[in-house]
Amino acid sequence: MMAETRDKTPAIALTLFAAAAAAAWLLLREDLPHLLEPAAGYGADRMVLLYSQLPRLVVSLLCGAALALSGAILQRALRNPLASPTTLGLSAGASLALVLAGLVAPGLLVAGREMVALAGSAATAGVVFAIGARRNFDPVALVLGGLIVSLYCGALATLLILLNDRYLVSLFIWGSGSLAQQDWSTAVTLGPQLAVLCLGVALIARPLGLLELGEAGTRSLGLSPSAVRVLAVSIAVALAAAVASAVGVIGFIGLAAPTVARLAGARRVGPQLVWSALIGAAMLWLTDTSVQLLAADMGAFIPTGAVTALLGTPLLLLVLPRLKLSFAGGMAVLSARRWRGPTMPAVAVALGGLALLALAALFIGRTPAGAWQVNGLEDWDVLADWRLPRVGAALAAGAMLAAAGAILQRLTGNEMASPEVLGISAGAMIGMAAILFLITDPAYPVLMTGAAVGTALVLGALFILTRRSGFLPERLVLAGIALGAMLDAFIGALAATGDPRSLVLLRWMSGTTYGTGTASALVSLVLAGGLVGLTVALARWLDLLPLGASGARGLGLSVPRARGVLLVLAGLMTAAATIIVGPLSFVGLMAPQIARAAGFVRGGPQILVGAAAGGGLMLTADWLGRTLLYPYEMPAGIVSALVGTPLLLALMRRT
Amino acid sequence: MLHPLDVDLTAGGTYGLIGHNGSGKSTLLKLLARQVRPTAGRVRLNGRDLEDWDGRGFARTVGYLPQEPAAPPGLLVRELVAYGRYPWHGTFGRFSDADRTACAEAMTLTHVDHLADRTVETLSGGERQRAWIAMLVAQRADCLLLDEPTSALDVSHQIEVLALVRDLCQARGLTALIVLHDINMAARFCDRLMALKDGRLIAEGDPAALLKRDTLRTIFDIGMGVIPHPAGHGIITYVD
Repeated sequence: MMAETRDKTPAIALTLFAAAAAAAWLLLREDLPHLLEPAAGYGADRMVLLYSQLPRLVVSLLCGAALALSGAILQRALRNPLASPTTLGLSAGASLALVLAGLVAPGLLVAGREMVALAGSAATAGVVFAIGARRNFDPVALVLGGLIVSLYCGALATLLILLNDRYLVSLFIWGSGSLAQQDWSTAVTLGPQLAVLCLGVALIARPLGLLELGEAGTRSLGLSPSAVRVLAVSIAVALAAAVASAVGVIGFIGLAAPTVARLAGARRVGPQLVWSALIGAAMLWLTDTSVQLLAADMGAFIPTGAVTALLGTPLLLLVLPRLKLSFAGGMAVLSARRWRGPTMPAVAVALGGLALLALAALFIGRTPAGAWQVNGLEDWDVLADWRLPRVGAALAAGAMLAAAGAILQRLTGNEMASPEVLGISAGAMIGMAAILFLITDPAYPVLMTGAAVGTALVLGALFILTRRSGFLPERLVLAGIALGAMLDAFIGALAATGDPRSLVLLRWMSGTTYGTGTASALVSLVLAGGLVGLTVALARWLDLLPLGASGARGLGLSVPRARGVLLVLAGLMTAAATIIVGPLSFVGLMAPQIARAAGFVRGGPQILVGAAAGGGLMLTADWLGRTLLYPYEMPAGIVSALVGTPLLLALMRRT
Repeated sequence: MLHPLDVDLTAGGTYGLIGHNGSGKSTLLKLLARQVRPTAGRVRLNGRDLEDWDGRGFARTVGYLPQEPAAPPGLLVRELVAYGRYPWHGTFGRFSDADRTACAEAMTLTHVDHLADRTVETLSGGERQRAWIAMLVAQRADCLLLDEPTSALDVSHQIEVLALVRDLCQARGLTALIVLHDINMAARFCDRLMALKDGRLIAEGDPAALLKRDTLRTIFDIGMGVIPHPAGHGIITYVD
């Protein structure tokens, strides 16, 4: 941004407000005259206007402003243009806390909804900052931590909802951010809370401005940067939690509004905060009114939060190339210790371990009565029918995700890249969802085609969006976050409409191998063997590409062709795996890193050991899911996310 | 970026490419290395247009060292050197005895034998450049294109790397084209110099003939003089 750029924020805010007002006029033009009528008598239209429409309008303005303010403060305090309640996982934390409270202690929700949400947000903020602090609050590391924590909370909430669907369906609606109101109570509680917090914001505005000078500069002016930061972040967390407890998760306003304000030319702290809040309020008002207008036509119920995420994604992707991010060096998550011994025997040991694990998962189980039992070969017929397909499918999916993750990490030179983080799994899922709505009870090949088309679209979008920057890690990650959020919004909106297909979708999301037939398990295994084998055969490309485009070209490698072929391979493997274990498992992120941590740095061994680790992880997750809560089942995808994510966060904290 | 220029490089010896920042040195080198395509004009190698060479065939003849080459973490020196054999064995070919011999020879010639089992990131700047040059030697390319190979090194390492390149050229009959900032280093280690200014080739010749007061003023726009090296190693330039 040029310093001389004219400040266009007032114009933008005014335009947004005008558009929102116009939309509101369209929506309310027939009801508004009721305001002038005498209060006598009972008029349904008048009641709706007074106790539903107007409070909703006020709540949308309040929530939009609060989220935008929270985002603006976070971006300032952390000097991170990507910070927001959504990207740092604050909203997801509040959401999970409320789900948990709803299950364990419903009384809490009546007594102190806000406090529960605040505790959730604060806890996630704590985890995310603990990760970020180790990396000097590097913007991308922080947002990555936020993304992972977010997805983790989401996975946990999904699992809880799956296990208790009768009690928690309404949480779905809440979770996707419905602004529907029945009276003024939300507005009346939220208003004063926000007023108090705004007072706090006014007090820290000036110190917040000084943070721009950097750590040393701030201190030399007699201000403790960490004190200001802690205070500011606390206020931002409180703002986000207040909104989350009132209306649920409303994505991206907190990221979009401050970004728009900044790009429009609001440079100093005061104007930035004020204009962000105003733009945020107008944005949410406009979105909410438009949603109501559209919903009235379709006769459907759509939560506004889901729509803001849908709108926020393209906006974020558009803004992405204009964001100037200083990227603080290498993202290496693990120091590269080397395995010094002979490679081949080590790889053989890894594969042998995988085989043993598979046998254990096949033969150890529980009797119908629930007792633990080691089956013998005499039970083979039963095992082959019931357990073999699941073990095979889980193994295949884990191995493919691992190989896809390794390819992406090597291709982008970014160790945090993976099908899950880059939104490629989400793309596969969206493709499958589209198929579900086009065809009833789709067969495997049809589903696979849908998933492959979905991944192809995401890979294409990622490629186009980040090519000009040379696949900069932060661009890739952001694009992935945006796509993942879009999927969440899509599923959330669907679940809220009560469509029966949403349950199928939810089951796919959670990634269970339950009901996998012998045929599809066999197809998965063959695909896994072929595609992973092909990747290993191309190991030399994977070795040369990390030398950089010029280095690899200098050795005679056709870089575009190598990248293209490898991306197609990664996409196919992601699609095939997502069909089985859903988009949440994180095995694609973890397995290649486990291989690296074990010291396998070269392409071929990393893929093989990674695939063994991925297959093993997924196998174990599936086995745990089958046996742990017997006779209940937990989906493999979710179990591996729940087990693996803390492991990953611990790895991120090391270094 | 570059104005029309006509350069003829004959095989054998070290060429130094000098000029001010933005004069087109790196661009010229990248054109020659086939890293960028010329928007107009042609680049020929052994009489054949660069466009007509296939990737690996070209890499068997010309080795290119980018300005800041990046090795992935955890890579061992001997593995880096072995990457130089890719143009020979390709994607699926076996790593043959010939490949092994070439790597061993390259490491001996560049004195990185004792570093073979170290990871590249643990090396000092000079050792790292030597490891990269070992990769180029293993590539068995006749022509080496080096983009500022000494820019991040202290004086002793600069000398170490440039002396290595010069010795390689003499011992194996290679041709090296080196982009250099330090004119005195260029004068000391290169057989011929080429000076670029604003994308034009303005002078070419052996160091003693090229480095004259008026030429230097044309190249760098400041007054510079030339004196003989006190110990008789060519010439030294100085700023007035």
